[in-house]
Amino acid sequence: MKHWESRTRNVRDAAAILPVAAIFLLLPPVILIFSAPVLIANIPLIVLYVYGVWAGLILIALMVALRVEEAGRNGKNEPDEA
Amino acid sequence: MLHPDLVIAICLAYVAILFAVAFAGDRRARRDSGGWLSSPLVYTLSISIYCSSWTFFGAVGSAARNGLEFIAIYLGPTIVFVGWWVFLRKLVTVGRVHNTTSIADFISARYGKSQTLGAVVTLIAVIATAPYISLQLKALTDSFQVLTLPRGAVTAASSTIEPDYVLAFWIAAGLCVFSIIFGVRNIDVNERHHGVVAAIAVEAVVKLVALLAVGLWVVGLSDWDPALVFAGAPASIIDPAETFGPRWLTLLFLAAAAVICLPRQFQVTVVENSDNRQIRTASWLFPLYLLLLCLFVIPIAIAGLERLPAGSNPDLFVLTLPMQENYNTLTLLAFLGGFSSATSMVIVSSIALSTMISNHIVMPLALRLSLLPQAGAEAMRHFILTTRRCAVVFVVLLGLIYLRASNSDALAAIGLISFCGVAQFLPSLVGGLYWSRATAAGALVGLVCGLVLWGYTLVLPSFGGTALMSASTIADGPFGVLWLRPHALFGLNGYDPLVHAVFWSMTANVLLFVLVSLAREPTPLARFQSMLFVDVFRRQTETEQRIIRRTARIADLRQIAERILGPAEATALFADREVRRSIIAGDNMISRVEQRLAANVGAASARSLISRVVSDETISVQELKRLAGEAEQIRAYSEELERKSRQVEATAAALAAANQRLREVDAQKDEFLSQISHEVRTPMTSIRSFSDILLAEPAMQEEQKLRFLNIIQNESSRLTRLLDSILELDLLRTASARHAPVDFDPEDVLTSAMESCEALAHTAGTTLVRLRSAASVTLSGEPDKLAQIFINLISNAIKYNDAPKPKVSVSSSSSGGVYEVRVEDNGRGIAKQDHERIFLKFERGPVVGHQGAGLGLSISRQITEQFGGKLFLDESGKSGACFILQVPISGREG
Repeated sequence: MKHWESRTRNVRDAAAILPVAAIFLLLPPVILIFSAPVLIANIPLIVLYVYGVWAGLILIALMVALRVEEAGRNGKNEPDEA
Repeated sequence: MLHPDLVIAICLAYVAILFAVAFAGDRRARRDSGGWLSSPLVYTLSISIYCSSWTFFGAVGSAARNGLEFIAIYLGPTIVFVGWWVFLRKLVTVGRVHNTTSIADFISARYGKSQTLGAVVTLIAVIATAPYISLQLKALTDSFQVLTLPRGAVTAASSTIEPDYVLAFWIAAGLCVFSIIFGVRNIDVNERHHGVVAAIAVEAVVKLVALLAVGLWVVGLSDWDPALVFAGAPASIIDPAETFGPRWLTLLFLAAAAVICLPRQFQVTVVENSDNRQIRTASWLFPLYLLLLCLFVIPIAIAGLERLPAGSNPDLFVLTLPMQENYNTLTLLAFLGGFSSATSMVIVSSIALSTMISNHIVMPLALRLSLLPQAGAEAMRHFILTTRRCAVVFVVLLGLIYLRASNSDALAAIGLISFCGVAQFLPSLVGGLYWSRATAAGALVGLVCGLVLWGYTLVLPSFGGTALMSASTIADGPFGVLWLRPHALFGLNGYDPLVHAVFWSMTANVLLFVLVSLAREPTPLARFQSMLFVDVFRRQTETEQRIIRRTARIADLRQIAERILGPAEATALFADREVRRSIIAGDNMISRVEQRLAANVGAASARSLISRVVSDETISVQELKRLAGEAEQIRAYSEELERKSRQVEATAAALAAANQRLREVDAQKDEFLSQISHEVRTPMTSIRSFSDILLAEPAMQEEQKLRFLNIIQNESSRLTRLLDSILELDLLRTASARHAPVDFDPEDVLTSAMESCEALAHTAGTTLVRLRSAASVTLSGEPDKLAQIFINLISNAIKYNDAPKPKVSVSSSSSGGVYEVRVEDNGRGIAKQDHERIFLKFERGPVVGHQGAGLGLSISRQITEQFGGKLFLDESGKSGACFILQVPISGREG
């Protein structure tokens, strides 16, 4: 099914983009934007940012893993490399 | 303080629980290998040995000293795991498919089962792990000493304690015992250690719970108010811009590399992996574990800086904070957490390294020096197990020695030296998985150069001006050569020593790896292995046996299998009925044995063991070509197409030739048929004519009647002979030598031919006269054929003669070895331009009303040529046509 295939590909793309996005967010210059000496709710901004990005990555990875598993159940196998 | 005996008792009780878990795990795994022990959760928890005591104690210490820098050590692995789809999945699949036993086995197998490479990787791993193990021993010793120091926690934390090496020794001994009992008990096919994994999972839970408990307690001290929690935060946390420089990048890279390349990480992530489900769950669960572990590191560090006297060792804040507040239970929990993280790391590291040492250093050496016991299977297994046990002791001992020699205090600094060491594997590992052109020589040169630079710029200076490298060398370079200073190599000044060392070692490693790989062609085996690794998702079904053709004697093979695997497994391996009957083992059998051996002694050693008994080994170039990547496949495909089209062309040409031949035969057939009908027609005509005369003139004289009947009979028998020869199908073949030629007198033939035509002449009112007769001569050949020519010529002369008083005269002569017959008529003759044309097939004279195929003259000429003679028209220009037949006289002239 076309719809299904495109969804599988979306998952694959997301899985491949995730580490790149992580590197982008955690390296200068992006991380320097958030290293200003600012407190938000009395917590340093950088602490919120780093832990926030971390938690976000985990959440997306969890979703990717679930989707891949779902694809594995529906399709014959886990969607392989193109 | 806590009483030392109490602490020891608690430690022993805890270890006893671990023993029980490991024992239960082993037993359960034997009963049911697919149980909860291989569940993704246990797998993820076992990966968390990444968080050793460096994390448990050192993360807080690092946070207190350098602010947020510590997070990089956990973000690196997070990136690798959330990006599992890109790299980790492939690594784990290759490891599982090829039954990898260690990172050294993986790299050596990838580069053509190179023994040298396996040994070098093992060497680097051992050297790089020594500081790491010493770090654990140091953490264990320190925490025990602090916990039991009579003067109390505050003093303990703030004063420098002389490390107790006796205590460190006993701890090391205890760790060796545990590792040996559970890690080196059996030689397993897949090197999976279920008992150890179960124990590690328990320890992973303990250390997480302990650190979370301490963290929650610390935050509770500040009444859960972020303002209070971060009140005393050091500048490095409030204003962290300086943290994110080159060192941040370096730490991220090193941590990402280490979570794959550390021998113990490779062991739990790749070797212990049994299906893709595990890695899928670990992709988010392991980062989550890391996040939870790091959640309270900053609050604990801030609290430690705030509440403990200045100068306290920040690496022990986790322990000294609850101690100071007299929370003994929490203190003990924290101690057990640290204990767990340190012991699990040492146990798995020593197991992984012992496998590597025995498979890649001891076994190859023993094979080469023929040190292997010949006594039998038990002795062999005993030898391997002893080797591994000794290796465990050796590895832990090396850590102890490093602890004694090094003078670095911070746990993180020691750990990072290890990270930089194992990161040297990364180019070979990544290149091996994605770049099929990477060669063993490239990997070897890269690794060795990386090792040398790492040692020179990081390890040796870490001893801080001892005999290994003097203080003056560190400051001014060896022999005062400034550009060789270990911390500013080639004048690269102003960088952190770690960044500096990582930059130089990795640059040299990657550069040499790529250049040397490009410079040399890989061996066929290496090329084959590289394809198996690089294209693992496409070629999981490919097996070595299809490519490599080998033969060996079953008896030899069995002997090796028995020596290494033991009699029971060997018997099972050779139980096949087919195998039992034969003497020579095929590819299948050899590959199976090699695989089993590889699981025990590593791919390289297994290969060299097998190659001793293999009598004949070839790698099928055809098969290799087939595997050689997409481009090559397409090329092979188009070659195949070309070959096919050439075949088709050849077939088409053959068809065309066959068609041509068919046409010729068809034409021959037509010719044959017309010839036949012509030949049949001539006697028939004369028979009909004479019978017509006989019927029309009943009053004819008896003598005349008899003559006519004679002619009719002659013609009938000629017809019969003709039909006989048709039945024999002789005529289709070219004329010569169908019948044995006979000698005959052509004059007789001419006379009888004229008689045959008499009836025709009579009907047409033509006068047929015989003029001159030749003397008696002899010709050789078929008289009937010659008769046919004569009849043809005479009947033509009669048929086409349109003169008012038609007359045909026949004369014959012989002179100069040539017999000549002339058939003349007094008709209007044949136009000069038609002289040759009338001899062609299907050409007739210009008289309408005469039926026939027009073959007569053409056939006559052919027959004449068979006699070696000529048939032509006289061109002297007289009125009427004159056919001349000249045949050489063959025999005696009479």
